[in-house]
Amino acid sequence: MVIKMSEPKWVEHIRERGRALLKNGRLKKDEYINLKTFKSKNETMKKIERLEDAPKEVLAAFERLGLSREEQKRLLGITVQVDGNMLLSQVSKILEKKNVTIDSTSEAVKKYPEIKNYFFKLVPYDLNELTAYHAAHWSGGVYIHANGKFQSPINAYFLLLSPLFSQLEHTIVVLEPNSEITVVEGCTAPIPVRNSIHVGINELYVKKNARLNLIKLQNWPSYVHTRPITKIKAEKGTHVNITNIILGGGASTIETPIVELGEEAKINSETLIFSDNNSLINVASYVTAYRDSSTVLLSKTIAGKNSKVIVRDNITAEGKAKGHISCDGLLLSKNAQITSVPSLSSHSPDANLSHEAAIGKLNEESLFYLRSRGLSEKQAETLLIEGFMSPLMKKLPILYRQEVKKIIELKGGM
Amino acid sequence: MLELKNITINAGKRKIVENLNMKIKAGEINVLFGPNAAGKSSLALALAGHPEYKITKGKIILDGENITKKAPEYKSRKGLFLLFQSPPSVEGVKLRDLLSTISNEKDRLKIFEKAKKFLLTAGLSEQFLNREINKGFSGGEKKKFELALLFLLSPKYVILDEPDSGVDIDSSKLIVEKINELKSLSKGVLLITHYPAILKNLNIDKVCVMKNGKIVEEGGREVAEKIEEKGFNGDKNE
Ligand SMILES: Nc1ncnc2c1ncn2[C@@H]1O[C@H](COP(=O)(O)OP(=O)(O)OP(=O)(O)O)[C@@H](O)[C@H]1O
Ligand SMILES: [Mg+2]
Repeated sequence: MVIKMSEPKWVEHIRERGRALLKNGRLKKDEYINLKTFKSKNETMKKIERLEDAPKEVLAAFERLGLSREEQKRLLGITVQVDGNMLLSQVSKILEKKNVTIDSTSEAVKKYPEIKNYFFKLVPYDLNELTAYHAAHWSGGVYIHANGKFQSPINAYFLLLSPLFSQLEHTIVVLEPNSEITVVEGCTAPIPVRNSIHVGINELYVKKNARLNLIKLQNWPSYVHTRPITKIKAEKGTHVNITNIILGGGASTIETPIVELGEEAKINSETLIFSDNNSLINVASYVTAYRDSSTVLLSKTIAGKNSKVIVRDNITAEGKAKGHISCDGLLLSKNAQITSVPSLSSHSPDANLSHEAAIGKLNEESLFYLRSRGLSEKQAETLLIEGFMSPLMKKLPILYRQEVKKIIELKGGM
Repeated sequence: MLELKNITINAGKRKIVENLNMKIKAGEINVLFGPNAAGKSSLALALAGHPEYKITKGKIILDGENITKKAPEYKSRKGLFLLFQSPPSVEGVKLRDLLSTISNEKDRLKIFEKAKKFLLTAGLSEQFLNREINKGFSGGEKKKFELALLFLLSPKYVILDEPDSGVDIDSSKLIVEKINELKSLSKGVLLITHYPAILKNLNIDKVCVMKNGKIVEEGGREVAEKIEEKGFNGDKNE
């Protein structure tokens, strides 16, 4: 039996603050999003025990994320949120033994008092109108708390099925000192969902010497606007690996992993952006790096049709830190546009920061070479696009590699 | 037979090759000499269908079919192979990927095995199946890789654009052997080279000399011997 508990006072307080901020209307508005048009409450789908029992449209969404039935069964920790509610949380007992807790954030705020120390602590809710809106109306997200090491990935999926809906999931990941986990987050909406938004807030706490692998896969249709914010606090001696796959997406999308990188910590962030149709994708990564830390921000962008992509990367060194930004862009059409804005600032003479960027189209000589070996123009282009992505694809778990390829092919960019 | 009839080639606005005629028969080795910038590579690239080298006049006839305006892949599938003088590196693409694309799933393993065999006979290791094409290859490795690919694709007519440039003595011997092998396999060969000396061990049929985009001399082995002795401007310097 499920006991319905009400939200604790501190959550109510945050919601009130959010509402008050919205009411006074002074926060920065988003030029693409009019919040009045959205609803944040919807009908709840009945919670299920196994993924096989999910409704058709949910399973279809999984295909969009490239997960086959067989692969779904192998996952040990998996949560699925549809719109604002948790549809499924299938968590193996093995996770418990390894001291890993997974729950819907909506439930977690009622069950685990310590979450108060993490909720809206890295992202301020008065950042802009959307964060205030999120504070007032948030629903769902996952709470992952690890106090140990767990090899196989923990999967959290967010699906948007309702039109005119604002998905406001709040995800919190806490790694206690020396812990190690891999989190895979997948977000998508099946084709018929129109004019919805996704404003997810992710707050990740990686404590001393812990290791986090974060894989984020987003596959949005071009009429869903998304504004996810990811903020990571990585303490001394931690390792953080981020693989960010952004496939298509909103007529405008902003993705913002912001990191505070402690002493002797390491972050490796790799982003693959594939845009088509009229997408306008804005990707930003900011790292504040402390003594003896090391940062690598690498992005590969493929822009087709009429899409525009802006990639902003910044490393600010607060001490003797190492950092490198690399941004590669591939334009598939005359009307596509890629802008790379790398920036470095150093507050220490001993810091070692660098950046490189290159944007171009498919290499004509390589195309001709492949065609002269019998490949059609299309085949040659596909191989070269895959070749462009390959350094990043290699980093993906094999499970996702084939799938990302498939999705990109489906999107017709190849 | 691969027949070039009255071919004129432009790169951009510039005319590079003019009114060129040539017949390459199956089982014959034709050698093309010519000073730097004569237009030899332009001819080779235009024949293979490079979009920058436009055939503005004339025809290419391959075994009776007019392939002048066909796409590079069409020409390749019809049995024309160009060994590049300087093959480009193909970022992120391995021979394995290339072969996977042009084969169906059921033949794939067989083709990989064949590729390994030809890599070995061309003097390379099997590793080249899994390296990005031409990326970081040494000059000689590039030539050998092209040669391995040639034997793997088994075309009817091959244009070899300086397969012997920049290779060491042993490799040069291997390449000569391979060219003779092509002849014995009844391939039609057009060999572009700067080294008359390698012809000594080659079973050649014809020698042409190109200057400023035109064939200025044709004949047998004696043409090559004259060039070896006097160079391309031999007559004028007398
Ligand atoms: N795309 C191009 N646009 C303009 N001119 C070109 C182009 N490609 C080649 N050329 C010019 O055409 C001439 C012939 O070049 P080509 O490479 O065919 O010479 P080659 O006979 O192969 O010389 P080498 O023996 O040095 O390899 C050169 O003057 C070259 O600069
Ligand atoms: Mg040349």
